[in-house]
Order: sequence, then C-alpha cells, then structure tokens
Amino acid sequence: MFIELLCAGENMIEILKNKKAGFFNLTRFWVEYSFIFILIIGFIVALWSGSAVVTYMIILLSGIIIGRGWLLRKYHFQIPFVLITIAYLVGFVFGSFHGETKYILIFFIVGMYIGYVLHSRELI
Amino acid sequence: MGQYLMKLRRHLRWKKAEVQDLVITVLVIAFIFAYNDKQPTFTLSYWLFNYLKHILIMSGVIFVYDFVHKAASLFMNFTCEYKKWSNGLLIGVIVAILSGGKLYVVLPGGIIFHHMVVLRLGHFRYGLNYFTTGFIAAAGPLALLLVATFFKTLALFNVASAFFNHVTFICLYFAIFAMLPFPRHDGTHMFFANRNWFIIILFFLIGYIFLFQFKFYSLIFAALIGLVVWLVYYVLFERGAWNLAD
Repeated sequence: MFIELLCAGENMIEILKNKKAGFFNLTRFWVEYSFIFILIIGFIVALWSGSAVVTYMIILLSGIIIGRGWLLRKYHFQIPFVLITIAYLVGFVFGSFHGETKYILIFFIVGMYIGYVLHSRELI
Repeated sequence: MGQYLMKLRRHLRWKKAEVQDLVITVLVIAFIFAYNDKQPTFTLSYWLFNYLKHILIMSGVIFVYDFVHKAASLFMNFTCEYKKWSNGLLIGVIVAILSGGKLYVVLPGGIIFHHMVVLRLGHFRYGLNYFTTGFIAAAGPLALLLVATFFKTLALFNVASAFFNHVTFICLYFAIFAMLPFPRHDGTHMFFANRNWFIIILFFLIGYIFLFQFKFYSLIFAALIGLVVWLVYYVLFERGAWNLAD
C-alpha cells in the first residue's frame, strides 16, 4: 500500500478517503494492519523484559519462532512475512531499554538460523 | 467389550516421532510451571528438584491426556497421533520468562486423526468427519477434569494435600488451555465439530474452576454453569446466526 500511495501523488488523499479501497479496507491491506499490530507486540514484549539477559533470551526464542515461519513461507507469502518480521524487530528494538541493538540483531539472526535449521532437518 | 479390548491391544501404539513430541512437550511445560520455584533466593539444586517434580507430574498428565485420546479414537475406529505446537510451546516459555514465572501460558498442541479403513467399514459417515473427531478431541480435557477431581478428593482427605492440590491445578490449567481453539488444540476440533457443544464443554471446565475458587467441588453444578452459558450464547448469538443463514 505504501508504494501505491507514493505513486499516487496528488491522489493520495483520495485513495485514503475511499471507503472501499482506502486504508480501512482490512482484507486488502491486511499486511499493513499486521505490521502495526506486530510492531506494538514487539514493543510491549521488549518493554516487559526487565534485564539485558532476559531481552537477549526473548529475542533468541522469538528468532526461533520466526525461523520456523520463514521455512514454512519459503515459497509463498514471502514479502508479507518479511514485512511482519521487520515490524517485530523494529518494535522490539524501540522497546528494549536494557540490551544493545547490535546484540539484539545478532541474537535474532542466530535464533532464526537455529529455528530454520532445526525445523528444516526435522530435529524438533 | 472384548472386541474393543482386542483393538486396544492391537492398535494402541506410540510412534517414535510422537514419543519425541510428547517428551519435548513434557519438558517444556514442566519448565513453564517450574520456572518460578517461589523461593526468596535461587538455589540450583532446589530448582532442579522442583523441575524434576514437575516433569513427573506433567508426564502423568500428558500420558492420561494422550491415552484417553487414543482409547476414544479407537472406540470410534480411528487412530490419533499427538503433534506438538512448537510456536505455542515457545510462546509459553517466552511469557514465563517475561513474567518471572507468574503467568503460565500452556499451548501444547493436539492430535491429528488417521482413518482405519477396515475397522471403519459399515459405519455411517464412513470417513473422517468433524463431529466424531470433535468429540474424540474433547475426551482428553474431560478425562483431565475427572483426574483433577480425583486428586482433589485425595487432597481433601489430607493425603499429601499440597502436592495433590498442585497436581489438580496443573490438570485443570492444561485442560482449559487444550480446549482453547488454537491450531491443533482439542478446542479447534470441537469448535469445528459443533459450536454449541464447544461452549458447553469449555464452560463446564471454566465453571468447575470458578466453583473451585470458592472451595465448592461439584461436577454437576459445573455442568449446570456450562448449560446456562450455552443458553445465553444460543439466545444472543447462535439463533441469530442461523437466521442470517436463511
């Protein structure tokens, strides 16, 4: 939708106002809605974690869940899932006051790799 | 009856992958319940002992849960297989860590069904169908409710009351979460089988826990709560939904 809006130029307001095709069309723009929802979830989860160790553990476990999701969506729904993953990560980074961003990213990628490998080899 | 016992002897089997899923589920859910050992300071030996205790309890709970599913599905000439829900288990661990073990989210997974071609011959609705699978799925949580009632009775007679009270709590907690309509859970099978029965059984369980809080242990009154909630649900939603379909 963002790309569509950027390309629309002056008609941007018209698109947003349109009830059938506008922003409130849930079935059409479900990815954007999911993006916002997951962003908030990521923010709350990070805010809830009380220390750096807990933050890193939570992002590692989240990475494992998302790694499995990447495996399942290898051939379909790739772009929406990437957007939702980014939303979670951005929300988590903004909400985490205890951990450093670079370590959060490293643990997230490691978790994703673990989740992907464990599920692709059917170890769990 | 003899035929049923023969079927149990012949077809009651656990596959290797299923056992692996059951073991993972036991370990993870035991971790969720044992995360907070309610001690002022962390002692590794005490925590490990508490974890082992929870592994023992969860093994019993999950064995009853799975065994009843298998027995019920063989009664209807199906076989069922336990499948864990990896994401659900990880979400439970995340919530346990975040809340410091004060909140328990137990999303274990559920069962998938297989059709037994020969044994099912002659049955009306020959193949797999929502209604039958729904009621087989509901057998697990209902069995846990009965087990919880049994253990609570033992606790009331002061037979290791602290331990059996905790076992009762875990059984009821597991049963309620199993009845929620999440992927693979029993609640999903029941929900798609029949919404009315789903509401009755879910609120039967919730009603029992509600009465439990007031130290009033009655399956009959819990069933009445389930029926009352179903009536309200039927009048407010289900009847209107059927009219809309017309």
